[in-house]
Amino acid sequence: MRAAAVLVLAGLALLAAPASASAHPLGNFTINHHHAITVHPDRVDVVSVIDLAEIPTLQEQPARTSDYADRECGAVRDGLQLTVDGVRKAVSPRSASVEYPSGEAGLPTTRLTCLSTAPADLGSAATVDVRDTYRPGRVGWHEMTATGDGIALLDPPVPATSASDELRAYPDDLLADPLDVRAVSLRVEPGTTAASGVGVAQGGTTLLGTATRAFTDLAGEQDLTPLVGVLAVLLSLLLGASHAALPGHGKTVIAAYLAGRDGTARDAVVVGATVTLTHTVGVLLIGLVISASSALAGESLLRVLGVASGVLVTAIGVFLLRSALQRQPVPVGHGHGHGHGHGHGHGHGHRVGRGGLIGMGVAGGLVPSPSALVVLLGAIALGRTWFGVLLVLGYGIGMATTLTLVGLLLVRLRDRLAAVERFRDRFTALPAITAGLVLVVGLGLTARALFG
Amino acid sequence: MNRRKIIAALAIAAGAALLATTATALSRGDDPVPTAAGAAVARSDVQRAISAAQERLRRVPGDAATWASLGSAYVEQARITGDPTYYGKAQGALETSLRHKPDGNGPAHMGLGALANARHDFAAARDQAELARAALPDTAEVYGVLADALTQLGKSDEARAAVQRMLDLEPGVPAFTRAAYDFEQRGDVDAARQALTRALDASSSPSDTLFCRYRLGELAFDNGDLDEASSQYEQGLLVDPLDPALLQGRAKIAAARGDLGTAITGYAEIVARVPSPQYLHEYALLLRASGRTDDAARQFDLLAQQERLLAAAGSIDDLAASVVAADRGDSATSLAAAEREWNRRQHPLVADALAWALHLTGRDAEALPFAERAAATGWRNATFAYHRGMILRALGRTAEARSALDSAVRTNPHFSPVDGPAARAALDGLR
Repeated sequence: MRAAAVLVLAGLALLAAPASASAHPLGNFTINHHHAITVHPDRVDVVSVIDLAEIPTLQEQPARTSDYADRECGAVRDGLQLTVDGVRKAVSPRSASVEYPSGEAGLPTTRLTCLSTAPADLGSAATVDVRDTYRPGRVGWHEMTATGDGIALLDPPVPATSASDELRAYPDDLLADPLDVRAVSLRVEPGTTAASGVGVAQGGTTLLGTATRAFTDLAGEQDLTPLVGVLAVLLSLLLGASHAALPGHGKTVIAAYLAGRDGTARDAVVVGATVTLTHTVGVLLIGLVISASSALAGESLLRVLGVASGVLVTAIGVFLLRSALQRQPVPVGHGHGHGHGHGHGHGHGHRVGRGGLIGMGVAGGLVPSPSALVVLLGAIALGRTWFGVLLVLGYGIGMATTLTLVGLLLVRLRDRLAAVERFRDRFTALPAITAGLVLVVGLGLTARALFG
Repeated sequence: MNRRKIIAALAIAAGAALLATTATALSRGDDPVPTAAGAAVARSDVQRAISAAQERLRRVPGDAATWASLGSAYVEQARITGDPTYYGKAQGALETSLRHKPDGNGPAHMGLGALANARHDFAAARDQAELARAALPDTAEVYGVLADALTQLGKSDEARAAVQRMLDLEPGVPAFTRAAYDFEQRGDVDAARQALTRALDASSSPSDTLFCRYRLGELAFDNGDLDEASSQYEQGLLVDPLDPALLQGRAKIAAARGDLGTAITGYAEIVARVPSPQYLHEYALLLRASGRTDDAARQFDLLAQQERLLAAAGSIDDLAASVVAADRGDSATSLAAAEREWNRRQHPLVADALAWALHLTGRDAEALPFAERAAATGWRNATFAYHRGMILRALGRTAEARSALDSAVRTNPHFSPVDGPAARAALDGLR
């Protein structure tokens, strides 16, 4: 029991890192493995080096065993599972040798070298799997390297040269864990050694996906040179514009609103500006709140905002419908009949109220775009808050451009149509129809945010 | 008119471009990012934290806070995996953190304190923990490091205050397990068990569960309850059948139940995988108890070599050295090591080791105060009682010796495969 009470102390004493640099770098009781795999057209060669530190050497006393190298290499080979296209291949011995370099405190270490070979026919493309199951429970460095001789390795997951000079000099990288590579799967085919395999396309292959990734990568660039900064801002403009082109942000609603009422170009601009302002302020607020308190769950917040947006649109739809139905009896002269003065927004009938426009704008910008949020949070985390804010602003301006453009185009289109006498009469019902459309869309948005 | 046409044309072109973007976006959809070749297998929380920190530091190498958290994670990883390379990495990472932020760097000092604890430099650990506390007075982890250092230095009242503060700040597995150790040292076994049970309930990761199961098993074993201990170890082994500490527990139970063969086989497997000094020592004692004195002597030699290696590396554990030397029969070395450790820290275990070393060199009158000092905290420890009993017997105080030896055997009849029978023999001799 006393020994057990000494557990924490004694056990950890062994694990204590050496104060001086002369200790076996990986600890005195490790057993370290290195396998150098060479793939030939007719066979696979494996050179296995096993390095036993001072304590295992003392425990096993290899110097006292006469045929230690052959016996232990046999165990290494038994633990080596080599398959070609799923078919296990027998590994036969070529040579075995052992030497005892001196380690710390005058104690020897053991360095066992085994050459093994497995015949295989690699005349065509194949997959070679190598797995090391020799002494799996022992702590130690596990490394594998792979090269091809007359065979090309496609995108090999392990390097061609050893990081530890075949267990002679272990690298001391603070940002890398001790290697623990116990299995490797190599895709091979006949030919000269390929410089690099086919790169797998990462991420979404759409234009937007690529652009978004480029955007988020730029925001996280280590060297924020002016060129990179300008590029990032331009990209944010483009992204904001294309983001607004995607479904969402109330374009349908705005279009219907402007088409049904006597919307003018200026109204389109106002709506666009309101959306941008709401969106930018929304992203900034949420970004700052989230980075200050992690208690706010992003997902549920977006949901709440989605519902709020939907409710707002529904309310506007109700208001529009009511006013449209109330105005039905107004004579046909509403809105048109003045050839050139028409469409420039002066007090004909009922113009779109400022409140309504702003309401549309707010509804459109209420739900923040995730990519803008991500960029802002990332920039804050990197200590570049101002840059993040700038990018979000650029994003918002891009959105404004699109939405204003859409609004303008629709206003223009409607004006053209209204100028044509034939369609004049059809327009009486338009406000009611579009109001109803706005109402339906609003209900749909709310429902989707609630149950989606 | 021309200008308007140009503007119109531009607007239409921009609209067309956006339409094209939209069309592409909608038609192709977003492909999910393919995982890298050799995708990572399920990783523990600590491993994930390490990978994330490494990734970040490659991009932002001047981030002192992440260097500090990486260093602390390396210390934790060393404890979990038993791989000592991580201590060197931890040292490097924490020193880098201090280089980037020399003043008020609480996390770095906390990490250095944890590292010093792991290396048994408890005075340095306490100093680092105090520096960390100055910078982070309301962080539970800091008090954990401080409590460990103070406990090992023998300052139990200050340690208790630190553990209490830790419990107040963040009642979780680290706090409950430290509270349990404090209760155990004071002799309140029920409270210790309750604290460990609460820790087990709060465990969220396998390594936490394994640790709690092991501690519960140890608590039961040290108080003679073999069935409860066995149940705890076996439940832990369900989570990880290869955990060396729980396998050692299983082997210990086998030895206690008289099945020395199974116990020795179990220990041989453990020692082949994790030859830590504690396991080698217990293995050696088991071999001696079953009569294989040559094999036992070989294991003791191995232990001596290990001590030389550790000394060459600058890592000192005189308490373990004293205990092993005493079991080996080398009383002079045992006494020297125990006295050196006593000068460093006045912990009950060190007092007991010193008392036993003095007894082995025949200085029983000097040994008795130390044996009583070891028991002063109230710790129900069979080994302490056994040592005190043997010292009292050598001094001729038969009645007290009998009561001490009786208490040892009743607390835990299986406290040692070698000393247990010796205690019973001495008790019979005194009747």
